[in-house]
Amino acid sequence: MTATESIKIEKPPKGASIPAKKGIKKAILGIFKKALETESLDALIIPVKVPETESYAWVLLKDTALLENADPLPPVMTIQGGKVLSDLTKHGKINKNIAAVLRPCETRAAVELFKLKQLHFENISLISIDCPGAIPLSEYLAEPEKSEKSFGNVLDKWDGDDSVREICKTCYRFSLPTLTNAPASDLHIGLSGNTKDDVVLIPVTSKGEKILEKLDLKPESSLQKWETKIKEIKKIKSQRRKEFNHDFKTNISGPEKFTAVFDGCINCHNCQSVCPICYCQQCYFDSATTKLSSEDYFRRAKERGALRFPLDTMLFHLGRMSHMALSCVSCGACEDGLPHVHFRISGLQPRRRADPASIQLYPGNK
Amino acid sequence: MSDVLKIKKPVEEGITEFLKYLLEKNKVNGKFSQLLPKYWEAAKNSEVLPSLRPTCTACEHFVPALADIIVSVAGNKNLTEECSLHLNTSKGEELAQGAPGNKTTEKLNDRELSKLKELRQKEREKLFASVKDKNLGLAGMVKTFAPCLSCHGCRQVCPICFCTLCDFDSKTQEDKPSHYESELQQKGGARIPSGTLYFHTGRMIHMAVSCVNCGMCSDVCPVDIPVATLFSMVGESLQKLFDYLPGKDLEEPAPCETFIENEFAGLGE
Amino acid sequence: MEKAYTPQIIGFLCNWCSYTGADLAGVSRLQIPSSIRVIRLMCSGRIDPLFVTKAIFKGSDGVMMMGCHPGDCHYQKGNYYTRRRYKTIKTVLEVLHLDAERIVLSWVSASEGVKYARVTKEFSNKITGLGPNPLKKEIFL
Repeated sequence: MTATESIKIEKPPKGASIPAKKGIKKAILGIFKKALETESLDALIIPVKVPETESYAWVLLKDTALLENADPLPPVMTIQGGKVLSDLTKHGKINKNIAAVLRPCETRAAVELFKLKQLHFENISLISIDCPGAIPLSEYLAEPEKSEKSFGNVLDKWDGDDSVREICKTCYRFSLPTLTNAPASDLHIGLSGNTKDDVVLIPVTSKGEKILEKLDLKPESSLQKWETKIKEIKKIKSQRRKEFNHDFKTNISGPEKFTAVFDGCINCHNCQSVCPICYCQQCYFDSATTKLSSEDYFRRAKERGALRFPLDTMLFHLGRMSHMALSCVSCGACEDGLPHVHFRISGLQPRRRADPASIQLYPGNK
Repeated sequence: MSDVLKIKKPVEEGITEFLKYLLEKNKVNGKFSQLLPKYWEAAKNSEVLPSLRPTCTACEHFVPALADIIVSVAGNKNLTEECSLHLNTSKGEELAQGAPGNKTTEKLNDRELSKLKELRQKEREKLFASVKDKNLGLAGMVKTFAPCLSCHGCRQVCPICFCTLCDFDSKTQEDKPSHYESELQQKGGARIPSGTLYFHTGRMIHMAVSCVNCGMCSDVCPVDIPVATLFSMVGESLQKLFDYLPGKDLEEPAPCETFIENEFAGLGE
Repeated sequence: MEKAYTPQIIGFLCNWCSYTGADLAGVSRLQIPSSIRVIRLMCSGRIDPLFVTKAIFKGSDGVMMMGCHPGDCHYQKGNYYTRRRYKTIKTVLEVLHLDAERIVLSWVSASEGVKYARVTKEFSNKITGLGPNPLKKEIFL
């Protein structure tokens, strides 16, 4: 038995094409509405705009009226979806048939949390969606309309990456985690590669197949066009990642440059609390263990001539990296969660990880 | 009236020199670099600057009454000529013993200070009015905290929130799947994570009476919720209720750890 | 047919006075509103303000905090702290323009069965008048 009680389909040959004349968002929400109305699903987890605001919140819903304000792919990532699933099922399985609509990095975070025993997959189907990236949260909140617009452009062109977060620009796992290896979702929504006229629902596991069956949707469309386009974008983004890694390495190498990255850190630990992987109830770095006696402080101050407060910010970041970066899914939540003292950390995380290709294992693979 | 140590230098240089002296005296041979020149520039003008944190523009307690040494900045007309260190306690006097500079005796400029205080009070009213219009009531609170990421950064940086493990991060406050099932049943939907407003209200009830209006919570907020202003407002009412000013007096117990036998007479009868 | 609205009120009662008072009311066959759900604590001083806040935010229509009269606390001074906490909760909710009226404090001694019946009835009527707690239906809390 696998984690999700479902059987992987070797290589999804075909998908179900859904007309999207009124826009992809409407088309996808239409499917979800039908799924809830026909009780193919008991409930759905999806970002919903809080009424009269521009903020997105994660909502578990069965009332289809709430879908009016829902967005399967909002321009921003507020709270990491994997974390949301963990909040829901940390203490046991849920007894409703639920689907969660997540970005690929969110599904992978969910899988990591499952491995870390922070999440129960029973009765939950993961629906992943092709993701062109997310707009930086602070930029979106400052100018929501402008951001919605630029996100629309990104979604149309799949190359207008300028307005998405740095980490998203270099993300080459923006689609169904892999076509050949074990998947991290049950049903995938393919956007790129299709014209704006349709979206394609790709069953990835038997669970996903069942959802399509219940909705009376037959996977009969060829995926070739979508696959080709995905490969194309993947190539561009992988190249960008390589360049980024190279530049980044040059920019942070050596203790001076490296410490400069964290100069602005005020020890708020926001990066840790929004990280989907950092699941500890009480972080070691918040515990009494890290508090020193006044003699210790003074001794350290004497040794170095001065002591910076808060203490050991670098130890915190390096410690967190060594604890968690192996499971880092490069979602960028840590950077979005920073107070507006912007320093780059999400770029650092993947660097600490072994080359996934060489060990045939990367976070989020079931 | 207190002793004054006068260093014949502009205030930022003077204070640097004094701190250098203190570091050397205590055998801590560090580099003391001058920080935030912009901030000094603002402090010099001793006016309400809109670019300050909102809670700072509305701060009435800018004279550190309990400090051992008070650097006279606000309302000090001679800022660029000299640096005046008011030795406020015996500890302060002891620290300054033998330090470079001349000693005189004078008072802080009360007239200028109360003028600034009045300006700040007006800002305070304006600031509170700005949230009263749109951020209060159930609907207002829901909108205000809509973007909250539940990062609890406001709690993390709060000087008053000292708990090693906050109740809101503990298992007590984690909901079981059955909770969400019943929410689905009753409301047709549930926000995850749950309890955003509960967290902020709960934290206010626990801590706002000791809120010193420092503004850290708003500064750290990644989604720009005016947490500090709300805390400041709630804190002011609580402090009035218990006739309490946080940080004023070491001997005065915090309102939550004391009581007066015959207060609130008639309540609960 | 729509059911008539019966509020759901949580009562936090101290063991020594109020719970005994409630017991006396029962033994005396006094009528107690069915809307009250009692949670017994050893002392009203054990009522963490978060208990009250959580009850309100999770949708209870009202919360009653009950303990010994000032001066009568089994633990000498627990209820004096309760009194300050009660005022704190009320003030915070008032400043935030949330329904502070849904929370009440009553001193009920072990011999005051009649008072227990009276205050619960009065509060229950008041809450019925206020209607359901709007937080009960709010999703984006």
